[in-house]
Amino acid sequence: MPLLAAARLDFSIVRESLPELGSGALWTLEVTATGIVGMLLVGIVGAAMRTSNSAPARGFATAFAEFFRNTPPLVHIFFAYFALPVVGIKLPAFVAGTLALVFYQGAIAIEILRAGIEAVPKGQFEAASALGLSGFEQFRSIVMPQAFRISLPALGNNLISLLKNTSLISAIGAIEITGVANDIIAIRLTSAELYLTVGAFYLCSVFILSGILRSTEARLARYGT
Amino acid sequence: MSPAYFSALRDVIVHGLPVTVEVSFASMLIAVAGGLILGVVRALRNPALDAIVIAYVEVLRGIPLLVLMFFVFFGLPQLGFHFPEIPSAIIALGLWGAANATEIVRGAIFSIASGQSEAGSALGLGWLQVMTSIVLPQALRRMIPPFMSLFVAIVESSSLAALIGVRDLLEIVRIKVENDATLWLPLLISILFIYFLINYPISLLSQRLEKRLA
Repeated sequence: MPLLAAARLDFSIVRESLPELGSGALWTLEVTATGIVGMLLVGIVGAAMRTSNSAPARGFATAFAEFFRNTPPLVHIFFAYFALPVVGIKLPAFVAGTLALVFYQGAIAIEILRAGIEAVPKGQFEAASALGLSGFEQFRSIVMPQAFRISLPALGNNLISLLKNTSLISAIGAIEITGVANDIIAIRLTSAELYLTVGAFYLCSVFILSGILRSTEARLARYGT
Repeated sequence: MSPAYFSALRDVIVHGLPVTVEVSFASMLIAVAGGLILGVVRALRNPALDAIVIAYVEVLRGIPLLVLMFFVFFGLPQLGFHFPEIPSAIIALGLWGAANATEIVRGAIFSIASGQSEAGSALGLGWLQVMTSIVLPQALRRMIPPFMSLFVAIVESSSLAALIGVRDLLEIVRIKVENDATLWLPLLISILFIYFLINYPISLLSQRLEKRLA
């Protein structure tokens, strides 16, 4: 049966659509790269607020993180693209989609980095203030670098999750690789080959990304934990 | 708030919510059952079985759930397997959940000190008995927090079913806004809160249990 089934596949459609798929793949990588920067930004600022002495900052960061990580990223994407125009904010699909993903993965990053900050030994904070560093200086040069190293494995999983979740922005018409596949399928009415190809693309990208993450972890491990 | 909003919200809750719950719950069952079976298979340390389970886990965790769901619903009929919308969503979400659950179960089993199973064998228990009466009862407690995080992910991911036409919370919203685009804002906010009300207690419980186990 599986052999019979495989005989019904015809991958020539993939060869014919290679230029479109290639451009979609580039968009996927671009959204992922932009998303990583945004996610880290949200995560670092949010975690700083989450562990700060200011109650309003803590409350805001906690509410933000809990709300976004407990609601579906696909609904955030719909919200950014379809609901924001109702209040006069019109964003192109790629921008709305990337922004929504930054909020979702950023909320997860806040929790990861908060745990990382709490795992930094107390003596480090005390030593930093004994050196006369300001609060911001302490955070930037003493606490964050250590918290980041502790958080790296979990942050890596979040990066991989971001890469896979970029496929969701195809739902609002962004033509990253999943969207490209959907468009071709709508015309050619044959889908298995294209989804297998797109799946293979994500699989390779995830393997490469996790390889990079593992070697980064190994490199940073030299500085101790 | 307009009467149109309230009547739309009523339909979203009455028709969409049960479907979201059904898809999520069925997928959780498949995920837990599949994860327990495959996780225990990993504990057998049989190289051939390990290779199969690792391949399954790596592939399912390496591709986006959306691509898997599209493949099950749009791609499989081409190969002779037809599934309606809801079963397709449950198959994709269940298989994806089972891959993640396998890693949870495997991690928990291997986190139980080997002295425990050695002591079991020393008592003359067989492999299966050591597993079911010594290792798994201890490992199960450690699985609970990560399983709850997985449940949250499954509820969130059940929204993807809307993209293959399953009439869940999100899909009913999409149907309701066809006549009135201004409903996007209040309806999406409403379902965000519904998802939050389902997921937040699970998250909270998971964090509490994790702290207590630590």
